[in-house]
Amino acid sequence: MSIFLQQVFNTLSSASVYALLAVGVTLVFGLTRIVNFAHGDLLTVGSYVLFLVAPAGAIWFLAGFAAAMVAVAVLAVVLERLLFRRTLVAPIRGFLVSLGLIQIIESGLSYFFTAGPRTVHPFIDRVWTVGGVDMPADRVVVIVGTAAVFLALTFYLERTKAGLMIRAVAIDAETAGLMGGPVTRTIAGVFALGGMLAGAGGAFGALLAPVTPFLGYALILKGFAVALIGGLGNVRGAMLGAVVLAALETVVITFGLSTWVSFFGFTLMIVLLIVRPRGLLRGVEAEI
Amino acid sequence: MPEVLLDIVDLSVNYGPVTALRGVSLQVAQGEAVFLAGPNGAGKTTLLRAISGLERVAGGSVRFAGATLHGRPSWDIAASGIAHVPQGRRCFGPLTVDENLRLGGYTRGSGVAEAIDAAYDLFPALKAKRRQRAEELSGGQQQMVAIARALVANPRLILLDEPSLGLAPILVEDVRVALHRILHEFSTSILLVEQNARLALSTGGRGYVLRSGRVVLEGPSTELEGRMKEAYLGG
Amino acid sequence: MRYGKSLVVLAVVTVLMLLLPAVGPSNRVLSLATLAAIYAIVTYGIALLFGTGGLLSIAHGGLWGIGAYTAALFAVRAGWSFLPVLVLSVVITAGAATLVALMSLRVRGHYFTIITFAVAEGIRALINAWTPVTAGTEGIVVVAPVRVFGFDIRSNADWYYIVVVSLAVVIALTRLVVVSRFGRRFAATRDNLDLAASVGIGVSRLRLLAFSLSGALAGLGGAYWAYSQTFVHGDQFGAAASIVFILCMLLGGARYTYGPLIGAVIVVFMPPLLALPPLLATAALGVVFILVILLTPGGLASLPERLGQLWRRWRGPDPRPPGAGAAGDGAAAAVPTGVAS
Repeated sequence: MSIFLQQVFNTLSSASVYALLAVGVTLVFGLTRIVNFAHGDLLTVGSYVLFLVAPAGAIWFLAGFAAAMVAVAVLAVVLERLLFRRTLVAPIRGFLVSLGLIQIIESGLSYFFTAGPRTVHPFIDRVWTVGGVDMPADRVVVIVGTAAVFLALTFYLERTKAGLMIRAVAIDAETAGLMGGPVTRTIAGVFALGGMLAGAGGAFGALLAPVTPFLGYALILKGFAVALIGGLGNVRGAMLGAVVLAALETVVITFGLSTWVSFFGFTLMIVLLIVRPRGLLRGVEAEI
Repeated sequence: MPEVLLDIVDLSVNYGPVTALRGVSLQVAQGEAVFLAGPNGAGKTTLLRAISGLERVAGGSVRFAGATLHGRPSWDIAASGIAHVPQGRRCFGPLTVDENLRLGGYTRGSGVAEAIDAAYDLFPALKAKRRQRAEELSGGQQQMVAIARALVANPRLILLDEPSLGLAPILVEDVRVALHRILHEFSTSILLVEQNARLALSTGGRGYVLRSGRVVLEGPSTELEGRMKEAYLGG
Repeated sequence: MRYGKSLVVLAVVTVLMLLLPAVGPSNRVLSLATLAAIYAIVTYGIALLFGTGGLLSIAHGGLWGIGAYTAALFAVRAGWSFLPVLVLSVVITAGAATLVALMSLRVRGHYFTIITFAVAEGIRALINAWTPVTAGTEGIVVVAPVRVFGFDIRSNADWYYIVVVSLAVVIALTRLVVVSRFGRRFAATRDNLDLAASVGIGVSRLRLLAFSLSGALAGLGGAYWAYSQTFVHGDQFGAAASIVFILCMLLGGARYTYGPLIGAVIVVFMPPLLALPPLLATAALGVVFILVILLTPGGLASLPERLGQLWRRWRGPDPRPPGAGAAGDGAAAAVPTGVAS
């Protein structure tokens, strides 16, 4: 029983990072139809901001966490203004642009920070044991922190005027404009929102495992698979999809098939795209 | 003659190489109801979309309450006091009726709750469904949502694109009553695109008949009634 | 241009290319030129799909890995001789491409491209994971004697001749396909799938055929890669390789006879000429890629045509109707519309 609970705990902590990534992917896709594969690298940039700002100690981690969220949000808006805004009429070009961005960000990071793995000083350096389950405090911090971020996000999207407009633009941008919704600014805002989530994910991810400049590429494939499972454009679906993927991974690794994880991941992605392009839950209409 | 609210002069719109509107001039005065008629493809919807900033204006000008509209994005135009009820209603299907109406009030700083109550007074049937998703409503009710959503913005001018399309005759009567009340109780001016000639003429104001992107007839509805038949069938 | 006339041009271009080893270039230049020709072969396959049929495939960066590994395995482990290995690589990769097409062409546009991305990365993951066959992440050293029509192929120049002659055949072949009835019907599917289907064009069969043809070119390029590089590894293949090919295609122009070739030459020779550290070269590649996507939809080969247009516009009166594009450049026009109503 405690082995099972241990797996659940591990699943939840990696699901947290996947969810922070995938919700950003799904939000941006919902409003722009752009599949931004550079979103995984935004997360890595968040980790490196944390490394720069937070040498050691809990207070420094909090400062680094905030800095990562802000810096990545700013970066995301800059990318939207410079690049992605020009691809709104043909979202497939936005996808290609993001592939180019991956090359730039990953080789840039490894040029400036070397390609080796980096870790951050633990936030709370101890392990709590509850009912036979070993819970490193930092993993608890990640799970609780992610839950708090998503509570705030849900409140923003469901209860505020700006959040309502984001949902309206995702459903029908033209009519949202007729309501007086500043469509281009809303899209930039969603890039910022996705950037904040990626920044948080990067900081939390650094608490869980070492980070390399090339982590973003591996992560985005998972993040996109998660967004697909939940239905592209569906925020709650992405949160749920993250748990599904993390659980699947836990199972595959438990059966000693870890070298095959990414192959199975791509196969799953292809099958999902062919069979249920709108996801297992309801996503936005597959407009093509 | 009351103050001219909407003043369109020599407006042209192109769809690629195709000219959709050429040299259209049209005025709507404060408190006036004006209807646009004409066969399918005449450019009526394009004209409303050009006013709202959804189509790129190739030539001419659109002025509203003295300010230039053409070339500005749709949300600026909405904020300047024009509400557009688009063709096909375009309710936000996955959102509730209440949320749809709150979006209507997006440009207002205050008084949204009161405006929503006033809209529910106009369409009491919607009040019972306020927590339902708009896509679950019937076509007629969705039309009510679209009109109510426009009214919550407290516009000075409301553009309506075929509000009776696909509605049962009894619901068309509801629309007629609603238009009457919008004009007289909300003192909002109306620019109405309508195929249903009886509904169009019942607003009692002036009308324009478009054909192939041009204005071919204009005048008070009483005069247009007879001549519209010729305009539809002729040449 | 009529096909016969373009063959004459191609013959001249080919002879010029074949003269390169005679001017005494360094070994480095020669092997880069060989590499450019290999890239060009794969790029012609991608350009056939994109330029004619409007299908953007990211799968080819993985598919050419199938060609490379087929060649490596059969040349090294089974000891097959060169030409049979070449044919087998082409056939197997074409078959794999057909399978990919069967899966991915069931969905349209956006989703098609993303599926082909997953295919490319799936092939890379498969190569890295399937250790008993592919030696996993260790890679395979490809050392095998090569004889073609009684000649031993040893030097860089020998490989260059073989690859360039193959490239010339590939260019002639793809041109023939484009101007053929098949090519015209395939092009009709680009503009309007439903219309093409409604006038009785068998859309699925056309696309399957085009995809397997372009897969065959990826297989050929992959086999040459394995032989000429003498080492294959899973990470040489996948979506990152596709980006390089797509860059070649977009730089040169997918719809122009020499577009892919021009693009491949630029992509291969630019980083050494810039003399950047490898990481910065990769970043520069990304920058160029983005700029090309945003700025030159037609590719560099379209430049003469576009400059001609600019020249005529500057000389003569503006052919556009007065006032067009003058007003209403609102940001709203750039917003995707008509999502769900």
